[in-house]
Formats: sequence, C-alpha cells, structure tokens
Amino acid sequence: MEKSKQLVEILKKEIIKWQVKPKIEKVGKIIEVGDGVAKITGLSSCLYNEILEFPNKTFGLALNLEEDLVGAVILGDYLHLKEGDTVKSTGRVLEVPVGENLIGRVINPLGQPQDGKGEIAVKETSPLEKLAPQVITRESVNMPLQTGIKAIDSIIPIGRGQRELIIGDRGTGKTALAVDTIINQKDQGVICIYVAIGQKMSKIAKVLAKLEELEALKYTTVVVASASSSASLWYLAPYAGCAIGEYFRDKGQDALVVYDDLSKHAWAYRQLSLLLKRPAGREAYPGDIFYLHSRLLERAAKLNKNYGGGSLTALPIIETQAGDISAYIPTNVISITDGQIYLEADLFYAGIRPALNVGLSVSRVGGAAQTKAIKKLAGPLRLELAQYREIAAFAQFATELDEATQKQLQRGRVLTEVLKQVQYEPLSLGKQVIILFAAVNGLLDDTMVEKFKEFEKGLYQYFEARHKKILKEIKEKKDLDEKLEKDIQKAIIEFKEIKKELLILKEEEK
Amino acid sequence: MKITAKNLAYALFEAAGEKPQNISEIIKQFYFYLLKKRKTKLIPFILEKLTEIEREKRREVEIEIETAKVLSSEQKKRILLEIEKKLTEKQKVILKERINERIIGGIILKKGETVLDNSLLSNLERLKEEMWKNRSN
Repeated sequence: MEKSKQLVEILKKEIIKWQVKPKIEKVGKIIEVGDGVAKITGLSSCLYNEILEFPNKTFGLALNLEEDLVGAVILGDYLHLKEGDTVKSTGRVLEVPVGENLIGRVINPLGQPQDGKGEIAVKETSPLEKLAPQVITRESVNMPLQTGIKAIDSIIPIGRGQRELIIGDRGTGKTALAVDTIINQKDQGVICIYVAIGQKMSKIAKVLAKLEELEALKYTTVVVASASSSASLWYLAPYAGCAIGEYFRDKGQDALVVYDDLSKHAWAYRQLSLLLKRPAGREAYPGDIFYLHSRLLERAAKLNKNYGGGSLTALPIIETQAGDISAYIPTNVISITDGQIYLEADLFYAGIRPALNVGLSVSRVGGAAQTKAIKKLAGPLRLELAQYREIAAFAQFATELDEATQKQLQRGRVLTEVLKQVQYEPLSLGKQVIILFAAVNGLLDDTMVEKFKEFEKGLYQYFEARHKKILKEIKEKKDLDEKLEKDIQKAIIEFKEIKKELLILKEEEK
Repeated sequence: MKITAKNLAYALFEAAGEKPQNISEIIKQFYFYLLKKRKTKLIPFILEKLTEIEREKRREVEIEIETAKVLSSEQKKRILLEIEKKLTEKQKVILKERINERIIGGIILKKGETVLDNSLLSNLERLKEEMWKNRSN
C-alpha cells in the first residue's frame, strides 16, 4: 500500500510541474498517396531529408522539394494514410541512435530493436547523412584487417580503413566471406556492423544464429531491412550502419561495416526515385545513383593521429548477373572502392572455395596493410600461382611434359589446395604463416591432393600440441627471421615423418 | 515555366483584372486552354488558389479556430482582439469555426500552414510523453 501511495505522490508532483503551453507546428495536407510515396501541399519551410509526421505515429522522409509540393517517402506501413490527412513537420533530419549499447543488438534503420531484447537506451544519436572526413584528417591505410581467410590475407590483403568490394554471382560465397571476416575479429578489437539490405529473413536468421554461436555478437551490431520491409528502409539501412560505425571511428577505435548487398540498395533507390517521378537514366536508375554509393563508401576511412587514429573499413557486396562485372552498378562501385574480391561461379562448382579469381581480384592497398611475415611469403605465392595459371591448360597432358613443368604443375595444384578453406573456420596469423611457408618452400609438394585437408588439419593440431611456442612467436613478432624459419621447417618435416600415409610415395619407396 | 495551379490562378486573376468587362470570354478561353493542355484536373486547386489571391489582395487572412464547445460572441471578440495584436501586418481577420469534442478543451488556431495547438488533448499527450521519458528516474 505504502509503495503505491508513494508512486501516486511522485506522479502528482510531476503533473503539477507541467505547464500548459501551446505547441506551434507547421502542417501540410496529403493530396496523393500510394506505393509508399506521398505528395503533400503546404510545408513550405520543409528541409531536405526532414522527418515528417503522418497520422498514427507514422513517419516519412521529405525527398522531393518542389515549388508547391513536397514528395515524401513513408518509412513503414502506409496503408492507413488517405488523401486530406494532415502532415506535421518535425524540423529534424533523420537520425539513428549510436553508441556502445548498440553492440550485440539487431535493429532496423530507424534504430528500433528487432531482436526482442528490450528497448535501447539512447544516449547519443547521429544523422544518417554526414559528410565524409576531409583529406586533412586522413592517413593512408597501414594496419591489416585480418580476415582469417588464407587467400585474402596473403594475396588480396585488406587494411583498416579500406573499402574492398566483394563481387560475384548469386551463391558464390559473398556473404560467407563477410561473415568469416566478422568471426575472425573476435580478439582483434574491431567492432563489426552487418547491414542486411533486402535479404530473406531466413538468411538473416541463419547468419545471426552463426554469429551468436561463435560469440561474434559480443562485438557486432546487425542492421536489418528485410525483404518484406519498404523500399525506404532498404534505402536507409546502409547509411544507418555507416553512422553506427562512424561513432567508433571518431572515437579512435576500429570498426568494420559489411553492406549486404548494395545491388538491392540500388534497386530500392531506383524504385523510390521512379515513384517520385525523378528522371530515369541508364537501366532506369536515377542520375545520382553513383552519388548514392560514393557518399556512403567515402565515409569509410582511416583517420590520422590528430583526429583519433580510428578507422572504418567497408566491405560492400555486389551481386552480378551471369558474371557481368561490366554492368552499370558493378562498374560504379568498382571505381569507388579500393579493390575487389571477385568470386566466380565456375571456380565454386569446381570445388575451389572460396571461389576467388586471383587474377581479377585486387587490393589497391596491398602490402602496406600486411604483416611482414605474410608479405614475405605472399610474393613467391602470387608468382607461382600466376605461372601455374599460364600452364594450367597443359595439365591434361601432365605425363607427357618435362620434369620442370610437371613440378610447377604439382606446385600449382598444391597451392590451389592450400588456398581452399572451409566456411566458419578463419585461421589465426600463426597458422596462416605456417601453411604458406610450407607451401612456398616446397615442403608440401609431395602431399596427396585428395588427402590434403586431412594433412592441413593434422599439421595445425601438431603445432598446437607440440610447437605452441612457434605459434606464439609468430603472433608476437609478426615477422620471420632465420631462426624462426628454421624452427618451422624442422617442425613441418617432423610432422611429415609421422604422417607418411598422407604423402605421395617416391618411386624408390614403393 | 511549369504549368501549376498557382501560376494558372495568378494568370487568370490578372487577365480578368485587365479586362473586367470581357470576363465571360476570358473564362471561356481559359477553360479551353485547360482542355488543350489537359490540366482540367487542376480546376479545384485553381479555385482554391483564386480565393487565396483574392484574400491576399483584400488584405484578409482566414484563421481557423477549433474548440471543444461553441464559443460565445464575447469569447470570439476577445480572441479576435488578441490575434489582431499578434499580426505583423494590418490585416482583416476572418474567423472560421470548427467544433471538435475530441480536443476536450482549449483552442487550436490554424493560419495557413502554421498551427498553434493549445488544446487539452495535445497538452495531455505531451505530458504523457514527458512522464514516459522520465520514468527511469
């Protein structure tokens, strides 16, 4: 009884404090509404990208400011709106909550929680549209972002602050690559943000389940604009994710944002632009489709010491149709990013997963963001792979070629096997160095291709059990000196002695 | 220049002003023009705009008052006085009354795009939001 009396007293005090005062607002009237777009008269002082309030607590975004009309896109359900409804101006531009309390949560682009874990205590908000950091505030990318994927960390290394595009047909492993990268950030101090644009709820649920299982949600935020949500939410999702990442970048921390995928983002923007009667250009995309992506990706940067030294790395994903990377949107995004990871369907079906086309993939940051150890090994690796690709056509006549060529073919086959990797198993720096060292120094030339996976697994286990010191040394030094190289070599030869059954027997031993 | 209801209204108004004696001829030609340009659906908006233009020219302003109960003439006079005090230009005020019981009490004034909402309903809603925000304290 006492408690409820107390409560009543507290509420009474609050009510008495309240001063009755009028509220002044600007209003307009809907004259046309449909397909998620409303045309409004009045609102002569409307700002661009201003949030407008429709009846029933529905919100909209003013995207078209014409002489007598405001064209607004409705954020959410619009079926209850009718002609003649009053629209209020809020004077605010679209913002999203940012901060540490977003980590581990699943939200929609408006900042509303989608994971049923309760409301988010909003301490700070940030506008969705923000200017990218100016030239003076930046620094060139110099720290690696370890993806844990051998093929990427060695040949197409990504640095913190870089934008690396993941491009390929449907079902080639684009999302898998991004998810593996997020999983590998476990102890790297990088906050991750995964933006799902227009994806099936079942796919999003799978990704979430995997992230939760591998404890990645402890440092990841997920922004969701699922396939059944309106085009306006698809359009806003990447900017919301970017704003969340920018909070950490500006605080001096490192963040990673994955946009999955920007092709759907372009579709959503095309839909909105056509409904707003903006002129259509090539493939019916609006004229500013390039700006749509360039302003998003330019916000991923590496800031210099004077501005905190933080970084925001972006991994945009683009889905191509029939491998056509010279289509409109792919070429746009390729020209914006600092390199691309090209996944090919043919390689995927041939069993090479990740289905990386090493020839067409590139990282324009390259060695500057690579640990010295891997850099030393990457050079010869790349060269040997390139040579292998050249003579790969002769592989069918393998027995009829001279020994040197046969050796090269075998080396190429081994390297291809080395670069294959299972999903959800990113590798630490130490393990990558060991396997690449072995590959490049010919220590794997006598392994059987069919038994290679077993060999690799066994090798890592061997090092974990018997040579933990070496792994630790690699992790700390991040470089290879002569002594370390000798130790690694010795250990690998030891292992090969034990596991002779996985090796190709030489003629004399048969 | 884009053909909008606003531009058409101004054009018609000025044309009629120049030759008031030929007004029926002018209106006939105006209608045929609308037919030719296929903009006849703008007619209701043009009419609205013409009323606005006329009021502007006569320096009149329409203010809509929404109250929960009917106002007495005494109350209306006081409101009119207060409004005229707050107007920046010397304009004649035309009051348009509306009764809406849902606002419970107080008054909502609407002038063009600007709304001054001092209804009881709106105040209660704002109080609710304020208290909801403070509930963690």
